[in-house]
Amino acid sequence: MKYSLLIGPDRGPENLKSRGLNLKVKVSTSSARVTQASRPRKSIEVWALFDTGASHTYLSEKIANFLDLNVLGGSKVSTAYNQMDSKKYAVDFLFFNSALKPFENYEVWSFLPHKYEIKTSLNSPEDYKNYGVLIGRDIMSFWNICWDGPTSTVIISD
Amino acid sequence: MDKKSLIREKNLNFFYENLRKYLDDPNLINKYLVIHDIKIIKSFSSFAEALKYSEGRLPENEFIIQQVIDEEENVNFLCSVER
Repeated sequence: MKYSLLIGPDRGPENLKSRGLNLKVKVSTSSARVTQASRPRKSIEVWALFDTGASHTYLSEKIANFLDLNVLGGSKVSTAYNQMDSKKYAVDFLFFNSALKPFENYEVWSFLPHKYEIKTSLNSPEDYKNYGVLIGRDIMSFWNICWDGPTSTVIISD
Repeated sequence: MDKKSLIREKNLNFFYENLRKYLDDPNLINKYLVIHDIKIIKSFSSFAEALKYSEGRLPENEFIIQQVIDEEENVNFLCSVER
């Protein structure tokens, strides 16, 4: 099978279960903002966790502030515990160590409260528990995702 | 509330006050609306198109892009957020 990203064989059989499905992404100022509004491109590398419970892709509000993103709208979002106000932003996504096509000018929503810390992303980039992005069903809908539980492997292709 | 939040709030209120009407309009349902100064400026089939139209053309922090969808139909659980 031709794949764009293979996750897991080095992690051991329990890792997919305990760690969840996550991958590292580069989040940047949207290309439209850089080219048309002449804003500098800022970016940060963060861990993203797949979340089938999320209809959209979510970004920590701390990252939105760090990248100096424009608020482009808003909505109320239901979580497992309550309802929260969420802000809309636009970003570019690049997926590390993969041939997955990048996403440009992509719509994301903010989420808080969360334990995510910018300084951990900068100082301890391998700390996968410090995820700043939830990849929702919107992005997953662009991909074929094959989850092989017994071997703790996931194959993603686009 | 600061000025840009106030402008955003006004545009958002305008959108949600009229959302039911937009949902009944076959030309607007599922479209992305660019709203500025409490008016619909233009509608687009994708968020990226709406963004590319707006950035640099409309004043920063004074426009919003909202999709005409019934948000209550979305299953949105964000089960990982508060763990």
